[in-house]
Amino acid sequence: MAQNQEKDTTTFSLTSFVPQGIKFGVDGFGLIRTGINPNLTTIEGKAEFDFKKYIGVFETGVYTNTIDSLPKYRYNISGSFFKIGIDANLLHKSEDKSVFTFGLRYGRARQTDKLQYRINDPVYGFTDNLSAVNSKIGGGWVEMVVGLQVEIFNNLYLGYSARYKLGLRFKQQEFVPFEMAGYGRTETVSQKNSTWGFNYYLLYSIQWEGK
Amino acid sequence: MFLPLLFISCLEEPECVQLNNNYIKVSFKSATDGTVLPVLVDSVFSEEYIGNFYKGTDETDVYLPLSPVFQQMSFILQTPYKRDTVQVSYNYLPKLYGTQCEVSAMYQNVEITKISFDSLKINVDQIPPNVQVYY
Repeated sequence: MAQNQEKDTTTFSLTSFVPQGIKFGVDGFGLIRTGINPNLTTIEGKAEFDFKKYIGVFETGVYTNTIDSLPKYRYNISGSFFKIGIDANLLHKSEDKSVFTFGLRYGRARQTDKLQYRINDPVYGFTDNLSAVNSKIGGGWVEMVVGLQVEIFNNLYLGYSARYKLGLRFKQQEFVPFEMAGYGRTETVSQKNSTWGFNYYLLYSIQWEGK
Repeated sequence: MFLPLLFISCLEEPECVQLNNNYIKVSFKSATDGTVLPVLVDSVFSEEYIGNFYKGTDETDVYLPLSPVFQQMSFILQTPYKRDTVQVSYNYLPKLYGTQCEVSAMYQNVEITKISFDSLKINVDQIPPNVQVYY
C-alpha cells in the first residue's frame, strides 16, 4: 500500500514537468511596423510550453532601425534578443481554450549601434560632425506581462500582450544607446528606467494531451 | 482583442533636455578669512583654442568651458599676481533623449589632472569638480 502510494506520487511529479502542448507564434504588430516603415525591421517569435496552469515561454527576435534626422543626427541599431519566463494561466479551468495570463520575463539583448551627430558649441563657436559606436554591447531587463489569447480557428490563436519593462542594465561604450533591441527606448525624460511594450500574436497550437 | 491598438500612440512622447555640466568653476577666496575675493582676471584662455574667455574684469568665479572634441584641456589663467594652469581630463558621452532632440552632452569622469595654484581646494563632490583658489 505504502509502496503504491510512493509510486503514484513519483509518477505525478514527473508528468507535471511534461508539457501538454506547444504553441508557436509570430508578432503581427512588429511585422506591420516593418511593412510600414522602410527603415525598421522588427521580427519577433515565441514558443509557449503548456503545463496547464503554467506556461513556459521563450521569445526571440531581431531588430534593426535607422532614425535619420540629419543634419542633427542619424542613429542606426542592429541587434537580436531573447526572453525567457513563465506565465500563470488564470483560465486553465475554462471549458474553451482561451488563455488569460500574467507572467514575468527576463530579457537579454546584443546589439551594435551608431550615432552620427552634429555638435553646436556656442562657447567655442564651432559646429562639428562627430560619430560614436557601441560595438556588440549587451543588456538585460525584466518584464511584467499580461496577455490574452482566443482560438479563432482550429488550433489557431490570436492574442496580445502588454508589457511593463524595467530594470534595464547595459554597458555602453562610446555613447548611451538610444534603443535596446527587444526593450525599446532606453530612457526618456518622463520615463527613466522603465518603458511599455506591446505585441499582437498569431499562434498555432499543437496539443498532444487534451485540455 | 483589438482595443489595445488605441493606446499605442500614447506611448513614449519625446522630450528634450540640454545638460549643462560642461564648465569647471574656479572660485577666488581670501586666504586670511575665506571670504569671496574678487580678482582682476587679465585673461583666461585654453591651449586648444584661440581666444579669451575673460578680459581684464574683476571676477569672483571663472568658468572653464570643456569641449566635446577633446578628452583633455589646459586652461591658462592670467591675473596681475601670476599665471596659472589648470589641466582637466574627462570623457564626453553623447546622449539622444528623443527623435526630435539634438544630441545632448554629458561629461563624465571629470578630473583635475594638473594645477599650478599655490593654495587651493578642489571640491570633488561637485560634478564637475569645483576649484577654490585662495589668495
